[in-house]
Amino acid sequence: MPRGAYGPDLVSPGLTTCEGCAMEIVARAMTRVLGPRTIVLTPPGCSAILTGFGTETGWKIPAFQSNLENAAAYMSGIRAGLDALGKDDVAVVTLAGDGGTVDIGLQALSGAVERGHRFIYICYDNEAYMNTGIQRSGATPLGAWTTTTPGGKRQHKKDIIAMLMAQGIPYIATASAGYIEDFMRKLERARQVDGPAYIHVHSPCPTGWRMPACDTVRVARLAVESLLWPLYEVVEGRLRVTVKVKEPKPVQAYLEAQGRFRGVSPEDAQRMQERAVRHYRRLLAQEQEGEA
Amino acid sequence: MPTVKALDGNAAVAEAVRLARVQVIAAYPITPQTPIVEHLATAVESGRLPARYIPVESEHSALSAVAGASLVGARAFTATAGAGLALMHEIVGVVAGTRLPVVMAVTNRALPSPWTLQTDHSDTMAERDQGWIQLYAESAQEALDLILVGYRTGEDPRVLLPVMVALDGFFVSHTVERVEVPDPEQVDAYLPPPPTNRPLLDPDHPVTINQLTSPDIFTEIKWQHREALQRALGVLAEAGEAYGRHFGRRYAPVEPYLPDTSAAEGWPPDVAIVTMGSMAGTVRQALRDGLLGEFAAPGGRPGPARVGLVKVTCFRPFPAEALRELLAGVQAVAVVDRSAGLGSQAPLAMEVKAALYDLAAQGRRVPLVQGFVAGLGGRDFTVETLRRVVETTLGQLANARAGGSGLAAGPGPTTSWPDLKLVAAQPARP
Amino acid sequence: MATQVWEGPFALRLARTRTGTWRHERPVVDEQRCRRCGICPRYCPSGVLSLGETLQVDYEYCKGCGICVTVCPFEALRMVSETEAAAGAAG
Repeated sequence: MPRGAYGPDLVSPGLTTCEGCAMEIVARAMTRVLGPRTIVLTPPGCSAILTGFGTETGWKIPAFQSNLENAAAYMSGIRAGLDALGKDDVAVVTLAGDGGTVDIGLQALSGAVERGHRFIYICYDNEAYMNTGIQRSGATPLGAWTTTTPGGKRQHKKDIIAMLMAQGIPYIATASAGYIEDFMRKLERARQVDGPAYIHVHSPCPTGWRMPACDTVRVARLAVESLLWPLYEVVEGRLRVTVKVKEPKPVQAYLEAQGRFRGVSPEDAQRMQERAVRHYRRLLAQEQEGEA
Repeated sequence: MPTVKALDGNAAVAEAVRLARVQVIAAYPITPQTPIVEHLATAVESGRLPARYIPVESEHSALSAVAGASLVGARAFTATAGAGLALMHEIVGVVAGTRLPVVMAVTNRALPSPWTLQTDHSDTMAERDQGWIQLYAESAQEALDLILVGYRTGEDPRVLLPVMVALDGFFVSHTVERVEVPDPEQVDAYLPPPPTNRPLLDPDHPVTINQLTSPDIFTEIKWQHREALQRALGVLAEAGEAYGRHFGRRYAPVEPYLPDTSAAEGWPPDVAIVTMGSMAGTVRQALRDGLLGEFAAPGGRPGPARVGLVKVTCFRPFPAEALRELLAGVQAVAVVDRSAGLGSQAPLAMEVKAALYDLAAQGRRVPLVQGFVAGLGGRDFTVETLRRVVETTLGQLANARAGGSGLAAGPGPTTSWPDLKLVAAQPARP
Repeated sequence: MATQVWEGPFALRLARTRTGTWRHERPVVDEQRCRRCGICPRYCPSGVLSLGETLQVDYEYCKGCGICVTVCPFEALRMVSETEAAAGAAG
């Protein structure tokens, strides 16, 4: 894809997001791909910071703040309204966090996907309720410190990709703030889908993950390179791994970069590694099957 | 020419939605509203109603979807009842605060607990301070008419507010009546297209809607909302008046009724019964057909007591001034609420008393107000209950002391439950 | 029809909080090393990097997060403390 094929960034500077915020990287990239004929929704979380305060806003496109759990329901109505008014060329996108997606937002998302409306749902996964000050969500990984899991989370991360795939969603992909061009290509494909499209973007949060602000992209890349965050897309049930990792790195580098994993024992890290390797191999096998 | 059909309240609502040329419908079934979403599904499937039909997965999503459609400028509708409205509660305030002129039918159903399928007004009463216009229909005909009046009022540029049209579950929603269904051309002449001169999600004119606000501007936005709701009373009266000219049935926020004579000539009666919804229909019929029998007129005046009805069609915004003028000359007011108002007096009674407070402030005589709670959980509001209401009110009046301001308070309880059956409590063990 | 005042919660003005006042250090471009590859503007969370004839940093809004330095393949960016930058400007 030639550089410069995308449009301008439609988010203004001067927003009060944290330094090094991955969600903001994703938001700007999103507007470069989708362009001005886009309506964006943000639930009340970190992405709502872009939706402004007082009489100011960060968006140069039409934007709306939903409630935490119903962005997908709003999108259903917006799409129906646009259809009724004959406005077919408008993209409808939600930029929601993991809490508003896999926890409280699950019902509305599942319902909207089941009904098959044309929309794009981007989940920036910073793996906790960050805007309220780092509380665990269903997407918080095993072992991670949060204010509500001070001893480290004891449950596994909820696999929202598998759940939505079970519904037969036409397009679903994982992405990473550390592989922004891969995300942008996926978003372009999502825009073409005549139905629901979902992209789950790993979005490291320096504030919540307890690491320096400059490490956002480095840590995002370590997650992919240690197979903890495989990058793939599923188009009409057909899987493709979009970033192949030739020489996987040990998970230690990823874990040691973040204060939230301080409590993870070497044994837990080992199990994490094994799980990741098995999962990655399964994905490669699935990809092969699809090609056969 | 209108078509006359035998329709229940639910079918009448569906007809109105079709006539209003609604563009987006969000549908979730809940007793006793379910036939509405079924009729609409049939109408959409057959092409009679070219709307987008969204079979949502919960009522919370129903109102969210309807709000989404309105945000891009489409005319939208949904319907619910009881616990469904309660589930929508989080979004009810958002829709009003964001000034989206949607219309929602609510087939009144009592909120749990206890669980019931049957009617009372606890569901819509729980939403009364959210900033919607709230109308109560007495019959299937009114349910149809008020949906159309609702769109015209809510979408008026001076208002831009959502409208709830309440109809009693089963008593109105499921009772078949003679209904005049207007012609589509007639309705097109009455109802203009939905308004676009308001904040919309439109890529041609980007704006952010419903952003986080600060104490600097929150109060002023709420004030705009308050003023719009105040204006809505006058706009509603205009819309109801125009409805009369177009369709032969006139609506006003508050309407008096007397059995023998026109309310304009014979007003005020000795006792005025203030109520809403299907109970107003019961009172109206009981008075018209002389079913209550006669009561002694107050103060030893020869002849029977004169009893009249004050039907409140518009509960929000509350038509305090009109009510005050209607009740000023009345001796005693019996307010019959169909919700319990636990923890205080029942809501309609409180509104009436608040409205009448200004009479005292103006140095005018304040009538006695007796509050009644009846018809909860679908208990039928019978002629017998109504008779007890009138008896109790006249009894309170007879025993009242004349105070300095003219405010007469009887010795009985502030709120009476006239249809309460005194039964032995259930034993704790079988 | 007379122009109407719009009511309700809506925002038309673009945000412009001077987030440049937040930083302790700032990125400085080595124009000799910069190949204008276009990678760092894509990774800047604040949107303050623009690639014209040369790479420009909008110091009005740059928060000094340092991500640009980590993604540059050519080591064309380095972080410099605000005190050092101020001294450099004065000298």
